[in-house]
Amino acid sequence: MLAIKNLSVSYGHKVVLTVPKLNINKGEIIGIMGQSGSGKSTLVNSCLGLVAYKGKIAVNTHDIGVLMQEQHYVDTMTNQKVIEGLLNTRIKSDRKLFDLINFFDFNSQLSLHFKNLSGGQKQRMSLIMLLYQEPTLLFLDEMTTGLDFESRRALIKKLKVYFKEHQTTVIMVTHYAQEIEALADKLLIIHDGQVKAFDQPKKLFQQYIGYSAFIIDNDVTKTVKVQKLEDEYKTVHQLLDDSDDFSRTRSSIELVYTEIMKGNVHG
Amino acid sequence: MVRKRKLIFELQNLLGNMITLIFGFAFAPMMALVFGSSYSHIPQALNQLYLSFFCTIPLSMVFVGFGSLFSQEMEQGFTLRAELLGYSRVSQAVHKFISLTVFVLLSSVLYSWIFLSHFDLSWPSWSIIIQMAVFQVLNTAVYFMIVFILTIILKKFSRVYGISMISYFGIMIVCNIMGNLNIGKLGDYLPIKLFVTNYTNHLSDTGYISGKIGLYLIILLIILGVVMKVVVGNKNEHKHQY
Repeated sequence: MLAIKNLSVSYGHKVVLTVPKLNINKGEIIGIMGQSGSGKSTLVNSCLGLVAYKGKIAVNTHDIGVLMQEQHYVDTMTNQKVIEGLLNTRIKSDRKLFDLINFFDFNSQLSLHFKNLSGGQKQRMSLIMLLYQEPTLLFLDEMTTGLDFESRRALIKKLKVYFKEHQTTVIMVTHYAQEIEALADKLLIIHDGQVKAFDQPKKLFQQYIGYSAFIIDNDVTKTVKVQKLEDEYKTVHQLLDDSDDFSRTRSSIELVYTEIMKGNVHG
Repeated sequence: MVRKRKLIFELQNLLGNMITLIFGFAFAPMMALVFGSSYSHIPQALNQLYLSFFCTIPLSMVFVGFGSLFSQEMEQGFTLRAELLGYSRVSQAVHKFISLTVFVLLSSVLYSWIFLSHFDLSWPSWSIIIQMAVFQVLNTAVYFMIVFILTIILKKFSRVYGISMISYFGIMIVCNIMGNLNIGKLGDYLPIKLFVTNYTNHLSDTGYISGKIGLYLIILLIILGVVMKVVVGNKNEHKHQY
């Protein structure tokens, strides 16, 4: 669906992103993590052709949707008119649009103006318009930034169902490990414009952590890694003896990310 | 190319913008009535005044109304979002231009009706009305291209609006519509001044045609069209169209 080879993006004389090789298959959901300014959004913008780049980006479709970090539509009319105008259709006579509006619980917001929507409602309105076009490749750039916990959880839940039903290829940039855990098939970690890791979260966990890990006091920097199943009992007994609060994980993205970023983080 | 709902969207967008409504619809009749009261017994002066403020309608509608609306859309990223939803910049320009032209023609009819009925003047002949309508459409196109190109290049509302407002008042001053500044023959080369000078004494003529103004505007349009092609073309260089 998307193949990148020898990608290089520069702002002035500074190279801000290099990706030697990256292949994304149809139906895969890729979560991109990294610090602010690491090159995540630059990668998305390169794929969209919004920034100049060297190298090759082959996109195997023209049905591309993009949800940007911030949303803005005109405030001179109601949301219903904005949606109908931009999609060139009418809600009451368009079953697909009607269903999407119901799916995202957006009915009561149709008569409002865009400026009166909350952050989550703005994201849902954009998603309705994006998904109406049934993109085969969808870019989501920090889609839940600024959303409260409940709105974020509700949005992820809705999207999970939708992506499963439609087999959409998704590339999502996020700061939230929970989003990747809930949605992504593969995790891509970018740091200082370089790809640090790209694989299935489970495989990355095995590669960087081991069999399992015990997170102490809910702090991923205080972790006991376990390499074999047999070692788990011993570790648990030890932790119980020490009276620590701990939790066991075999898939924590946050832990994988922290481990990979060790030694890469400045300051 | 032209989508019905998008056109309705653009019309509603203009309708929801108070600056467009005030400057596009209220400014010309209001000013013409105020100035006209001083010349109510001099038909030629009234004709000149009628045509002068008639010419300000596309100027106000595009430079002030559309300038504010489109530059804000550009600054806030709505133009890019519309592109991502499948409307290229050219397609957006076409929809916006058609809706602006509809508004300019509606405002021109409304203005004419208010002015002519208030001063008890007869309507121009049909052939002159058609020429006036063509002039408004061509003028709208010229102003539209200037503001569209400016906005694509400058991007920010404050920059675009600053320049468009200076141009707006500048053109009216140069054409002696506003104030009585002596700026030599400069205004004589502007389409507005040419139009007012040529048509003031011919409003009821059925056989009068002043082709040179139309030709002048079409040459301007071609030049602006080339500039627009270069500017919009460059800005779309790296974009997927979908």
